[in-house]
Amino acid sequence: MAEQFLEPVVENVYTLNLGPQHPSTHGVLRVVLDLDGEFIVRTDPVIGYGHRGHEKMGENRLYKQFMPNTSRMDYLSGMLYNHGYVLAVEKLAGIEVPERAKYIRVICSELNRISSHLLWFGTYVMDLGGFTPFLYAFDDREQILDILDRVSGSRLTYSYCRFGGVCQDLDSVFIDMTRAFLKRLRSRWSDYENLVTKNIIFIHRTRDVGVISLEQARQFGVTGPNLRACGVAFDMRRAEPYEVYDRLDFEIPVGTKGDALDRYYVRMIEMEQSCRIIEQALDQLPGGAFLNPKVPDRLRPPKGDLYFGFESARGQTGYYIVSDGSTMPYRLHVRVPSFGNLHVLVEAFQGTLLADAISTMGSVDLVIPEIDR
Amino acid sequence: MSYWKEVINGGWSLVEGMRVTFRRLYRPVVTVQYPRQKVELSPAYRGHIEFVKFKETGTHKCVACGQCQRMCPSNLIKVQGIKERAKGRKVGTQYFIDFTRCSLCGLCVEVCPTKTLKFSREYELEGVSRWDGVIDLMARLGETRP
Amino acid sequence: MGNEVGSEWIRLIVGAVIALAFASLNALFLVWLERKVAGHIQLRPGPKEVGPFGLLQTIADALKLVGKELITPSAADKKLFVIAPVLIFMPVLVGFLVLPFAPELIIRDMNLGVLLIFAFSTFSVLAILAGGWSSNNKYALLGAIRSVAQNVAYEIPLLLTVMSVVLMVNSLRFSEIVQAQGHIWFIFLQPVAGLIYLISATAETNRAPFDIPEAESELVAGFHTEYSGMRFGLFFLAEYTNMFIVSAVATSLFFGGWHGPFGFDMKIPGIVWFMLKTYFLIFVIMWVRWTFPRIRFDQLMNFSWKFMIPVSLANLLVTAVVLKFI
Repeated sequence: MAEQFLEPVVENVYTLNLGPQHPSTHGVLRVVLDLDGEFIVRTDPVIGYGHRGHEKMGENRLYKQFMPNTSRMDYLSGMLYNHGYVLAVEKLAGIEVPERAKYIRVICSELNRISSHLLWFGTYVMDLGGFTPFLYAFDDREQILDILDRVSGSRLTYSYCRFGGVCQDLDSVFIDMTRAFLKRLRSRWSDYENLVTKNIIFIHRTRDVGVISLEQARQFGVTGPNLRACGVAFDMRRAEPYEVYDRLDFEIPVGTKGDALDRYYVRMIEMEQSCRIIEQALDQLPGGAFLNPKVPDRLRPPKGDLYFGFESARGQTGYYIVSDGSTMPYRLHVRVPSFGNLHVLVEAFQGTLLADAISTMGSVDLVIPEIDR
Repeated sequence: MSYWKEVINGGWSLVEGMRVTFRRLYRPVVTVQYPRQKVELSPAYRGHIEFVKFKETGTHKCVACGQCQRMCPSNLIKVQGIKERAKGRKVGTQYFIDFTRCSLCGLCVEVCPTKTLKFSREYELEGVSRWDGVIDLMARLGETRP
Repeated sequence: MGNEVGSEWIRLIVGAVIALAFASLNALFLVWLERKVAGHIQLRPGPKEVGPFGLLQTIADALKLVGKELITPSAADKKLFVIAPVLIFMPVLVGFLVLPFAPELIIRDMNLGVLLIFAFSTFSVLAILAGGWSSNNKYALLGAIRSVAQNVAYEIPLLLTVMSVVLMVNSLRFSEIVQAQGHIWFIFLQPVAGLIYLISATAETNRAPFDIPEAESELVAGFHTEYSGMRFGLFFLAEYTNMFIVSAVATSLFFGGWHGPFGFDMKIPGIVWFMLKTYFLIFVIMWVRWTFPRIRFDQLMNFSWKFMIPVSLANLLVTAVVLKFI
């Protein structure tokens, strides 16, 4: 009876299903691993468990109606996806955006980026077995959610941006809260450093683990912090500046080796840089309108197509919209960074230990619903 | 020698980590004990939609134009109205939403020409069947709520 | 003569019953303590709803576990699967028979007490292997294999450090070892051994950061993935009882057992000193668990074979040489 379950396909190799329900796949991802002992021989990620057909939905609803869908693709950086979508449609339809709205969007997006990175930090350390830093990070993240809740009315799926602006203006309380939060977050860096960054166990679990070479990163279209950890200073905010990013001073952190520790450093420094961006944007925040009132409900962009890429928390995200001149997009495609970030693991996992695979998978910051859409 | 240095540095890093957690041990808790304590809602909080009760008329201003119904991405709004007189305005008589499908995007509130929709501040919504998610806005208007 | 043997038996049986009751209550208390410590470290209150300060929470949880269905996987080796949880809990109880709670409170003061405890604690490896193997689950099997390798690796430094203490006292009897620490605890004479003992003991009880056999983010729940209901509960209780045993042994070997610090007993009964020190050590183990990430498996083995064993061997050698020439 038991023999039929234990029969290996190849001698010395057995298959392990990591997922779809597994504590460290962060969502419904299934990774079929062929293991030789604890060493990985072959990796086969199986995606699509969370497919909801967002792209198809986009084809049969108004441009405006697709807004709630965008924040549900990557639920950890909903604001960034909102932001990118309105930017793409504004570019396609040629809509003017008031200066104040641009700054508001940048502030909210960067806050969202910090919250996404904080959650990544927490879950990554949890993948490595440390539970407490996870809750400290959530404590900080909670502050961001409160701040964003104040203007958008929700904590995760914001639907805050509108074509030609945002749906609600910032008030002085928001600005005070944000400044207080930045101060608080900066006072926490030393704790994170002592608890995790300098921790010898953490360093040993991440150093030289899951190395993604520059060559592999290019082949698989890895972007975002994972690419920057390989040593390429490629950031859509700098490469093709949108909104007001060209007026703001920030650095793009790069790693050297492309291992998990570099990816960790890059994200931690990126949070600090986001703090700087928010501070500058708050200082420069102009007055005026926050929404262009002339945008019609039933937008009819001219015929044509457009790809617009922006930097979400996980890398280059892009909306490809084809318009046939009607009120609905003819085709709406989303380029998601996690897709490339996941599939590069097929090569990065080769010959590593199962424990390292978990560490690597955590370090590339996957959001599965984004891949499945 | 560098090996021993790493051992000592590593050991010290562990001690520092334990200091961080020990300091937290006697700090006050930051969580909110939900049923006993409640967090103040943000001013922009989005609950399900409900009618605004205008002071001058004592009722809503829904004209059953159906714009919210058409704008809703999830088609969860049903609104019907009647025209009482030939030249009079249409008045909304029935307004149902299926809150179980709502994504709280707020497009209905924005599109309303008479500004008679707003977000409620309800958040303790639970039910035993999916019909409990169907909300009759007209009936709610009759109820007295803050 | 016969009467004496009889009274000895009665003492043993009464002791075993008390030990069983104490072990269960203690485990329930430790689970509560763990959750409270974890809660406060993580800036949240921990259990607080059931009973005063949530003290009855674990009893409620245990009742829930008892009420649950015991699922046996169809492909499992059923006999081993059922035996494993019992096998892990019983040897732990034996440890209570020789622990020196107070000068007159030892159930059976054997001349080989130290050896007995470590001999029986090795049994738990067998139970974990049986449980992991019989589940016929890959995660469970991986957890079991890791557990065996880990326990074998950490048993050696553990026993070596204990040896250096035993060399100093010239006895394996717990009461004599504790008596020898009346004025100065052995942790001050043997700091390296004490530290290595604590580290190895943490690994021996499969506690974080050495909780590799049940590494939840890798192996779901490790060797007890397939266990449900009270069978899982027994694994759980055994873990906490084991923690108590290793802490109690550490207390009697290194922290002076029922003695107060530096001979100041301050009219406090020995059992209070003993319990205070034991629970403090348990608290430290918990504190460590909620601070650090998990070590990778091969690093763990390296740490044991390449660092802990040589250091504890050197420590033993130095102890022997010093004792010879004093």
